[in-house]
Amino acid sequence: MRNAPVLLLCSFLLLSATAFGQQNQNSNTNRNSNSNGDDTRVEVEQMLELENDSREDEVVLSIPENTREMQIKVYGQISNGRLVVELYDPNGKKEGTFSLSTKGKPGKNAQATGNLTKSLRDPEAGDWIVKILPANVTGDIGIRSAYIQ
Amino acid sequence: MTCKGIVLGCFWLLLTSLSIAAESEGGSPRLTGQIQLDSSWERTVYLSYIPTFEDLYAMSYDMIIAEAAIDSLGHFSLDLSFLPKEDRIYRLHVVKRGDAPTSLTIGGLEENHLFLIANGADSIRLEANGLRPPFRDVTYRNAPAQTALQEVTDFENRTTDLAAESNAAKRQFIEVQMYDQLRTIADTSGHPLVSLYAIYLSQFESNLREHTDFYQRYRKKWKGEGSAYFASFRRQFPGRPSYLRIGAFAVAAMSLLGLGYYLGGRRTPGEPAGLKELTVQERKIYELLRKGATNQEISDACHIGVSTVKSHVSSIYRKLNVKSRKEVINM
Repeated sequence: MRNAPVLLLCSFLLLSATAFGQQNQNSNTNRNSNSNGDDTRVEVEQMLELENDSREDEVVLSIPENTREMQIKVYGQISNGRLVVELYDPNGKKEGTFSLSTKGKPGKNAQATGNLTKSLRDPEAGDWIVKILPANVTGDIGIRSAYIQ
Repeated sequence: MTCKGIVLGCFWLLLTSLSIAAESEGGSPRLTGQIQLDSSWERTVYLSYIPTFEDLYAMSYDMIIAEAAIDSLGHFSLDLSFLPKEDRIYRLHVVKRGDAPTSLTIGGLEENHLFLIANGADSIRLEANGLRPPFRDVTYRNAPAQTALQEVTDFENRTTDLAAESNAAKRQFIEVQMYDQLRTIADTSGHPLVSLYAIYLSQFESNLREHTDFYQRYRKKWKGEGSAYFASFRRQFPGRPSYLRIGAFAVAAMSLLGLGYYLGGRRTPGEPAGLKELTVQERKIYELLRKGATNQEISDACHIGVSTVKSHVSSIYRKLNVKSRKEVINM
């Protein structure tokens, strides 16, 4: 019983270290599916919060066969650092990119934002990949894909 | 002197004064224009300097070099006299109400920018007649370089829109034709920046091997172009090695060899070299290949066409330095 406070402190330190080891990136995914007659519309929205983050990441958007229409929207807003976002089709072809930097920002709360929209009829089925390449980025990234089958 | 003569003389004087005033106005180079914006947009237009074609879709505060108010009729006027005398690439953009000046939108009806060639000597007059997106249907007056650049943009926009509305097979055909046409524009354009802009829109990075001769000829043609745009473009190509480079390469190769030996000793048994080079999709296909899956089975499992599977499989073979499925299974 005398060792209980020490054990408690060790557990606390271990948990803190684990949480820190996972870095400060949080993600959140929402998925909605609606059927209207013969059409099924699927929407997937993913949000990433970056806090002084430099970890490269890939978000995979799986588009099934026989998709009639697809729209991918990637949104980035940063208050610090440099962010590059790239969108690739399932064949590895780059379909769009933007890069944001807060270099030369006039005020503490200044931000830079980028939006990339890709809409296609009868899109290539497979994994569409959003590559996220941050360098000390604090900000948010939103990826929304919607497709109709 | 008759009364008629005096009136004519005064009229001539007035015309001369107006002409001198107009000339002195024209002496200071300006970018003037008119743009159609609905109430969702801020009434400010921003001019950014684009240092290389890799930065076409880059946005930061230090890229914005000027801004001007847009009046209620959509007119704006920007002073260009502080720009360098030689032609460079600039971006004009507007932002939605409440958004930061550093907001860039690419694609869709809210696309908020256009690229133009400008310098510190010539005035430019543009009319943007599109509402959504605002910088569609742009025309220039007496500005051959801007007009040529806009024609390339319009061609790319029209063809990309057509491709997006087509089915997958037709889209691939349209894109191949578009890239061919862009290379032709690049080949025939007399303006170096218009030509290089067409090269970048043709996604040259992905077809360098396919059109090696074209790019060799192209680089030779613009050998004398010393701008940062061409310098950056040339860096995309492997150069002829100098003795210094060979020496540096030898040192790097030795270091890599050492590192490889060190890491090789630590590698998980059975994990082949080159596996880390595989993309997410290729890794998935690699795992299926190891299980002995056929192309059709991989196609079904990954929701992609058989031709796409074949393309991925050959890429996997190349990266893993193998020649058959049997070798993949035996790895």
